[in-house]
Amino acid sequence: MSLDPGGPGSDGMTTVTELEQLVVDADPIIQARGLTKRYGNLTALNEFTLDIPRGSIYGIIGPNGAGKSTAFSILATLLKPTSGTARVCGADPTKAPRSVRKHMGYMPDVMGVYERLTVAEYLQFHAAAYKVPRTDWPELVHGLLQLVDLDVKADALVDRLSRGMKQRLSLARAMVHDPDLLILDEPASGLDPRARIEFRELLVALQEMGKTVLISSHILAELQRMCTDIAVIEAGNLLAAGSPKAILEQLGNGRRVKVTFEDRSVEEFSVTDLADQAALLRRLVMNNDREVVEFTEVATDLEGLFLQITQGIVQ
Amino acid sequence: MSALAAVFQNLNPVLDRELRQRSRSARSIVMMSLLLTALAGVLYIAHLAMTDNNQFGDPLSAISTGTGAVMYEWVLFAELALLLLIIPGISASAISGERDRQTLVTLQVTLMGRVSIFFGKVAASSAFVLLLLIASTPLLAVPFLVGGVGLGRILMGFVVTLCTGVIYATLGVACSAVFRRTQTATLLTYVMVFAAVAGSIVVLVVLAVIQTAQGDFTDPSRVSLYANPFVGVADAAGELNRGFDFPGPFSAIKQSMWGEQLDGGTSGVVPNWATALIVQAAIAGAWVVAALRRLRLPQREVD
Ligand SMILES: Nc1ncnc2c1ncn2[C@@H]1O[C@H](COP(=O)(O)OP(=O)(O)O)[C@@H](O)[C@H]1O
Ligand SMILES: [Mg+2]
Repeated sequence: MSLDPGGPGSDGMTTVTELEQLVVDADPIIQARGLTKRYGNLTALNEFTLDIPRGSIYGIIGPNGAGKSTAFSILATLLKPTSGTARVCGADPTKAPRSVRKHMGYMPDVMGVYERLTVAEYLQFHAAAYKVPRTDWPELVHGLLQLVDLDVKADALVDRLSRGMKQRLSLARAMVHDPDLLILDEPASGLDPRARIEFRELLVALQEMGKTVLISSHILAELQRMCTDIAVIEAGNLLAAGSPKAILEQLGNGRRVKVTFEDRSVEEFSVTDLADQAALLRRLVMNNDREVVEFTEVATDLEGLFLQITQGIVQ
Repeated sequence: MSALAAVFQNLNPVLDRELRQRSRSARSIVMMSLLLTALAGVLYIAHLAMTDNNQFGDPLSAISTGTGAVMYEWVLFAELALLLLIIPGISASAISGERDRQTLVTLQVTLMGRVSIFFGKVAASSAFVLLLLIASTPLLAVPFLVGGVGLGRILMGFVVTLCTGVIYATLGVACSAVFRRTQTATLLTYVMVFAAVAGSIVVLVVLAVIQTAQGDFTDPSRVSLYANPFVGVADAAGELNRGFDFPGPFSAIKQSMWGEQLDGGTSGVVPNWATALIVQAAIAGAWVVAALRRLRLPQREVD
């Protein structure tokens, strides 16, 4: 699970987004300023300050209980912060929740399901609740079901769907009013690897549609490949934020490689990037004193970094 | 049912969805069958009792002694009692049930608004009350055919019973918004129904005891009885001063409430049944205010 800066994925995407940001809109779609939520003595979220640029897929990573759902609930107009302010889609979620809801789709961490209701009816119900004109429903439902690959399940009962299908339906539900922003709370948790990949592809499709996606997870692997930006949160505190690459750089010592020599001795080297890594390898191979048996990257991907950060090694 | 659903379809998304779901559930059919069976039993027993009493088996005497009226009153009385038992069960899970199923939050973040959500739920519960009442109209037609009770009186009883049902359904839905757990909401709705039925009488008795202790032997104020659902329906469905040897339950209540007063209580300005409905609606209304406050977003805690 190593970070591959040369491969297709996060790197190319970042560039496109950065360009888009410059051209389309410099104004972030979410601005959180000092959001704090206390439950008695417990500070669930502490001075949470973050900008989410338009068009990004922004991942919030943190272990269970870090405060991700708390932050999302505040942004999604559900929860009143103890202090701090926010602007979401141009409005204050505490003072003008309705204007936020018009442009925001929210998917909670637990997907609730109605009994005795079909997939199509489930979407129609929410379309009605979002005041989408009745005449638009057939096309809307068809389009959304196609997007989330559930068109064959239109007449199936919602509570009979598999977990992955429910999750995709829940995403479709959050999109019935064509929002600019999607706030998805741990959408991939509990999915099998295949469903997770499908979900990831779906998110990329959303980004291509021009949506901004705010997504959380406690599993790093889910986010690092598809997110343009990442923030790390633990015990209510934001520890780091930026592009996956920027976080790596911000925290220094980029990549590490482990070299095993002929005599079974092991040494670790720091390298700044892939070119540096190649240069190191060349140097070691040219050096005839000790033969290199094995040359591996140490986990300096986000997972490793995440562990470092959340264990307080780097801060 | 589907024709009815079509009428309501454009009114409220929550109502539409609930009617759809209910039409697919066997539960409402079972409940309706049980209610109708019980009422048919009551009708039969009332009929037996009345014909036993009517020694000559004379159809004209049936009308004069009001056999049909007594049968009607017993059926409606039993229906109101059963409705008051059924309604908390169907209404007090309306909102807490969505909380349990984790569907409330996704509904609340839509553009529907708490008032529409709340009254959609009330309408859905009330529609079921209406359905039960309509389904039992054939049983009320029997006393009419037997004779001794007019169509107007049957209609009035129906309307006031329906309004009473809607008020307690509203109370149940409000409780399910105020209390997080369905069990708590259901229990509290039953407690409030019980308080309205029995508590209003207890208040009267306590008042009487206090007055007597103070040496005051006038009748105590009966105002607490206006909160009693049976009293409101009694005014609509019962009859005063007919002097039957065998009055129906509603006529008996009505007689003891308003019998001594020649003008029949407050009527003249506002009919007694309307006063009773207003008193009960005001109690439910206080709960509605609390419920709507509870449904306001953002909240201090997520449901
Ligand atoms: N209603 C509540 N009352 C008390 N503590 C709460 C409440 N909701 C959340 N918390 C606490 O706040 C912290 C953050 O929770 P949450 O935002 O759900 O974390 P995450 O989504 O990152 O797993 C946790 O310690 C949790 O126990
Ligand atoms: Mg969470």
